[in-house]
Amino acid sequence: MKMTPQLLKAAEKMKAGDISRDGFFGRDERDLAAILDEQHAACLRLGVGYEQIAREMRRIGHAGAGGFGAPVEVDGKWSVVVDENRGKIPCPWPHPGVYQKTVYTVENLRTGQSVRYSELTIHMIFTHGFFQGEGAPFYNAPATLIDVLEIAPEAED
Amino acid sequence: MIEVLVSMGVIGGIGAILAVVLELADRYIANYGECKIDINDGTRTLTVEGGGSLLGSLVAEGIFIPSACGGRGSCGYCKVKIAEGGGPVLPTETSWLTPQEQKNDMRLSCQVKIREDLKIHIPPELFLIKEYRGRVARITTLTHDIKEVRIKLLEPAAIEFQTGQYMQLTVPEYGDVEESVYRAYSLSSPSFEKDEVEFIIRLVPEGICTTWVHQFLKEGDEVTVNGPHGEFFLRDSDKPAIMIAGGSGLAPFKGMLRDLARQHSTRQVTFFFGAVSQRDLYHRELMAELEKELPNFKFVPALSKPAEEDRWQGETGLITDVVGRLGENIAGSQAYLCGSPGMIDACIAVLTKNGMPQAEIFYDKFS
Repeated sequence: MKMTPQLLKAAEKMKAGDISRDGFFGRDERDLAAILDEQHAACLRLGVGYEQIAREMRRIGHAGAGGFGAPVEVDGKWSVVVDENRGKIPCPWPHPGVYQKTVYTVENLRTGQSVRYSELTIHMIFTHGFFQGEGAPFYNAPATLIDVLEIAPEAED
Repeated sequence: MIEVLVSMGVIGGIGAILAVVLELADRYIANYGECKIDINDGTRTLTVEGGGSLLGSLVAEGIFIPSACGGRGSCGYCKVKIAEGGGPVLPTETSWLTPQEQKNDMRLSCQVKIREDLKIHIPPELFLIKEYRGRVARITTLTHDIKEVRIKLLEPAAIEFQTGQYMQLTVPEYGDVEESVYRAYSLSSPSFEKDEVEFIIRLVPEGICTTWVHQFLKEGDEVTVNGPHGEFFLRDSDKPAIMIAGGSGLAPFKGMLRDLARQHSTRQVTFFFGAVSQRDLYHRELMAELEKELPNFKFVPALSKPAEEDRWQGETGLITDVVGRLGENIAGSQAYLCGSPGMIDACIAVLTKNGMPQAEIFYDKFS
């Protein structure tokens, strides 16, 4: 994939210190287009669409919102802690959208494995297929999310 | 197929180059001269150098339009009404303006470039907002993720505000943060303290400002704040007041309660403070002192998940459950809420279910 003007603008805003302290790339030095390509391919290989992953992240995360920071058991499978922080953060892509600085920590009660992601993370995965660069504060590989959130491939019609 | 892609690439490239040339020409060649900004039908008239953003020009003249992103067009807060001279609404603005706002000539002041004389309308209270230079007098660690910052005002040396309002703290460039930004925080100091302001600031993961406050800011540092902003303050009333907060939401109530203590108030006030475990509680000694000073004040901390070592004897459960136990006794009271949007929405639902009219509920959402 080529770095379009839109991707160039987004990548600029994803740098550390622009809209978030550590940025969205972590240790990944590839350009945004290459990261998107690789993550899209990973989803295809795993048989789960990135929209499906984001939908589960949202469903399970939001189910824990009633705890106001205390752990909430969701579906008997996960312990979810929702931390709603002051303020909103915009999406780095050049389109409207600001997201509450909410952080979800989801622990799989069976395996003990956990993932941590933000409201903006959910949006970026759902809308842009972007899981962030490895090492970024809210980065989770598609395979990790699929494991922890126990996401099965959607049945084809 | 390759030819089509190459053609698209060439056209896109030419377009991008032209855009850059136009931007550079506008920045370095265009001369708009002096322009006049008429504010609120002649209430104030500014003469500014054309070519700058409306937001930047207003700030340079000491008129602080609320903005959280420092003029990058990414927060949508800096709306003003432009009656004349604003030019067409830009694509960077449309996403932040409702059709009704666009119809009413509302614009994002950070995106409007001053090219000719302008007529604008802003809320009159914005004239009262000033920028203050101050020095950090004290930083106190309140919990594992909350600090209290007290700032001695230097220039101007005193401030007028209503207890419960908020100010914007300017974050300078630091580390990878290459542009200054500002963020809003509730004042935790009372209005009778005119030469100092105080904030209670919780560390937000990845937060540019809170990281600066928690890891970089030191006592003795010079800082800039602007304000006051907001309409969250204790209404003058004899009705019993129910205060509800979580986390750094305690801030405005600390100021309000100190105000009431100074006035020797006999108003009935109950302050419910929700936390997960004991390590999230703070200012308990201050609240105990206030309970002694205010005959009808009660502080009710509630833990939703007390740790075993807490040996907690107080209220347990979600703050909504604790408030809900008051039942319909709250019908004649007022409520003041400060905290996360989820907590506030849930509390409003409980309060209205128990008979409190919406008009008696005042809140400051962390949003």
